[in-house]
Amino acid sequence: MNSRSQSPSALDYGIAALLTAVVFLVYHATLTPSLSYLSPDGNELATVPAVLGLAHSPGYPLYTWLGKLFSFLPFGDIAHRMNLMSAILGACSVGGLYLIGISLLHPDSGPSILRRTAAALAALLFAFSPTFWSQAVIAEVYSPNIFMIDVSLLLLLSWERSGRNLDFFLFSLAFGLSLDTHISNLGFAPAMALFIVLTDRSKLKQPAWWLAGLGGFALGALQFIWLPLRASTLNDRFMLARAPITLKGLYGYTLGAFPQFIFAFSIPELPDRLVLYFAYLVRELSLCGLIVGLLGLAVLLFRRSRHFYLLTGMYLVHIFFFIQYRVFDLEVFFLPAHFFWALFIAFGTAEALGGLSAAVRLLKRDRLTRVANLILCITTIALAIFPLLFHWKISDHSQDVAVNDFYANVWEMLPEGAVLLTSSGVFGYDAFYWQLAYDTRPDVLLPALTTPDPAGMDLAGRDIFTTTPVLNRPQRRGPGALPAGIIDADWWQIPILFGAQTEGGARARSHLILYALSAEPPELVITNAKPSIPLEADLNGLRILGADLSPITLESGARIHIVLYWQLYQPDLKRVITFIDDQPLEVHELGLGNLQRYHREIGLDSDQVIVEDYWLVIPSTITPGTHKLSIRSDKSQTEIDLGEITIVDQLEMMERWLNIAGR
Amino acid sequence: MVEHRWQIIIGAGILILMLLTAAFSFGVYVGRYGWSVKGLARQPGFHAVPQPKPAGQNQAPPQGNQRPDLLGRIWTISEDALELLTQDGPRLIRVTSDTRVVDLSGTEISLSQLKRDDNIAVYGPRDITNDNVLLATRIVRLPLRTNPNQPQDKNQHPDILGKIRHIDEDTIRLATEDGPQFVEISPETRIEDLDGAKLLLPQLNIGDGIAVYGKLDAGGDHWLATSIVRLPPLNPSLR
Repeated sequence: MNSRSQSPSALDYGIAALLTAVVFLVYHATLTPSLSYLSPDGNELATVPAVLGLAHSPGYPLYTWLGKLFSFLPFGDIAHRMNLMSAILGACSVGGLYLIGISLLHPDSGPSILRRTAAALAALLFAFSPTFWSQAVIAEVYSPNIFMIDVSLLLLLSWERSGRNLDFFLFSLAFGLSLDTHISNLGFAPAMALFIVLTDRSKLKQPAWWLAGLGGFALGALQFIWLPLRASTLNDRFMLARAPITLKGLYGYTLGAFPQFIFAFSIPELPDRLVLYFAYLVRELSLCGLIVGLLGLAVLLFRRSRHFYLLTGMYLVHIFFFIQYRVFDLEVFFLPAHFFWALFIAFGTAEALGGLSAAVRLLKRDRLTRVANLILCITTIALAIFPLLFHWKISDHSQDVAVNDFYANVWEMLPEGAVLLTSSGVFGYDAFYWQLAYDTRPDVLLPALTTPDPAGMDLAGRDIFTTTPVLNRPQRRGPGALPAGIIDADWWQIPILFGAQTEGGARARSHLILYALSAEPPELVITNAKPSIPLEADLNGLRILGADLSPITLESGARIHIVLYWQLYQPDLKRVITFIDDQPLEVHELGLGNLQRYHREIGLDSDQVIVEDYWLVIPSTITPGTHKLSIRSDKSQTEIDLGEITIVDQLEMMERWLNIAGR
Repeated sequence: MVEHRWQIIIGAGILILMLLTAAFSFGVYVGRYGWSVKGLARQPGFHAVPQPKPAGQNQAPPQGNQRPDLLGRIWTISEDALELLTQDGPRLIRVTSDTRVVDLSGTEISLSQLKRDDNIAVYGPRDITNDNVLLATRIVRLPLRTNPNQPQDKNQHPDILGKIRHIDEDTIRLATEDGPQFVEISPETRIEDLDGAKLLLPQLNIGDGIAVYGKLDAGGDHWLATSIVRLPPLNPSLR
């Protein structure tokens, strides 16, 4: 009962390839087209590989190099290719999970068709679990990490079967490399060591075996030499504080990174943390999956006790570490644990299916048994449709084009030699991406691109713009914030371009607005309005006199110039919402955020006309054709039609973004 | 074979230990929070399952949740709306004749008694067309006392108001109207509830609303807290 794992057959490799292909198609259909705010550091991870830079701790050298290879793909933009890397490696992980499962499922647990069914179901349940799916459609390290765990395990099992030092070297190399995609993988070492000892302790007396293991691991871990070599590219203040240019810095950047997150809970808090983990497990793989996985754990112990120690050991170390980890996006850190639980589900499912098949076999009718097995196979695999359907809507980010659409228009609008203030460090890569990956508008100065503290830069004589609010309200603080005092506090912050609302927004970055910064007040008030579209409509204390729109025929993803002429009868502030058809595009405060200050410092009479002059990005996802543009005040349900605009689609969105990037 | 037997025996022991640990944890959890997900929501790192918005329907307010849908500072007031500065930026609160406005004791107050810079908790569904608009069913005014450490001529309002997202041994990460804020705790930082009772840092929980008095550090990266006032959990009857 404690035999070695089996080599997957050619059919198994075929099934793994099929699963990989199917899952890839799903991931591709829901792939984020390019940049997004779905992960706090996803835009950094989409950019760094292309420039062979250094990402935040622990640096991700292997991810960077793999990403560089993917950046050579001949389609999409670089961020799209990075998203694609996650999808491809994520899909390959699913095929790998199947191969590990089928290697370990014991022949005594049932007919091969049902073992394959169980392994395939486990792989698909993991593939369509919401957190893994969410990480497989954006540029992030979690899907590559599961891939590296997969590869390490498959190579370890391969060594188990062959006993060859070359296979052990390859396993050690893969394990050493996997420290890049998550350094917590080091915690798997004790379980792997125990498995190795239980498999063939005589190897411990062979110097060549030790050489192969230590050599492979060291070679894999050598990747971290990349850190001091590329430390000069860092621009994040927290990363610069522990720059990996000394041995202490190297430790602080890798193993010693984020010490405040580790073992952050007291013993009395641990029961709650464990329950939290189970809540995540049920969310990812369902209550049924939890129960079947428990059965699988017992089966694994009795069928393959050595492998029980390997998989359960890796699983328990992971759980022990991460239930005590204090981060705001905890769910992604449990992905390896969910991966192992999916394997336990494979064991539980195989045993349950084997039991049902054995019951039918008691009837001693071969044909009936074959038909029953086939029905069991089909109905079991069909179960994977449920998570696919349930999680599709929340996992589909194929329409998340807001960040690229916004910045494409920003680059088009900025005048020659302008300055663009952005968030700094990891959070500024929505803008840095363009100049780093494509050298877009090199005449535009991004002060935070080179330093987190650009306060001393000479910005005199340049037009200054910002995508992060720096005036009017208390300045934004925290990671990514610009230092206080970079701009004179008396300046005006005038919105000139509004992007559509973004999805997600791990931070408060869901508002895409380009502001012009000016020592002069905006031309917010005029005496006589002559709008080209007269409207004359009351909106509960607010009267719209008319509007100007241009152009009325435009490319999807481009911007429309809107001028609204208002008269305000009640002094309370109001919000204006712009719709295309029934889809709200943006919300802004009447007067574009400057009305109160204008009234206070310059004056505003009730008979004067308030002019709002701004550009609005029409998302790339709006279909070609005629669309109604309208506005609504939050104080009134009355909808005011501004007119019809015609959207054309002469350029695919990616083509447009790349043209503007300057490819 | 003997060796294999021992592997199974030890492995079975591990399995039993795993089950016992899980059962014990569930027992502790249920003892603390009952059969509810309340305890999960208090955990750092917990995110509820993202749910697609139901098409064509307003989202119903969560039942039995003591936490407000919005917490923030009043910016503007009109007869049918409030503009609130919140952790997610400005939000519009639409007020109707059905909206109940109460103070923390549950006493009804009128909308006109609310004033600019009052801190309030708002319950209600979001506007169907606009996530930035909340249709208030209940507004609870949160009193904020003057920080005794502050000179009398100083603003009685706190420097930051927000919900706790992380707590480390010396740092709190807050979600505030200006985005994430880091608050550094020193041994001198006083932590109290509204009644002035001293609290210890472990008594603060993820999700708690707090008011922070302090100053920005020289680099402008984080706040150095001189005192922290925990806003009380709301009485469920106020829902």
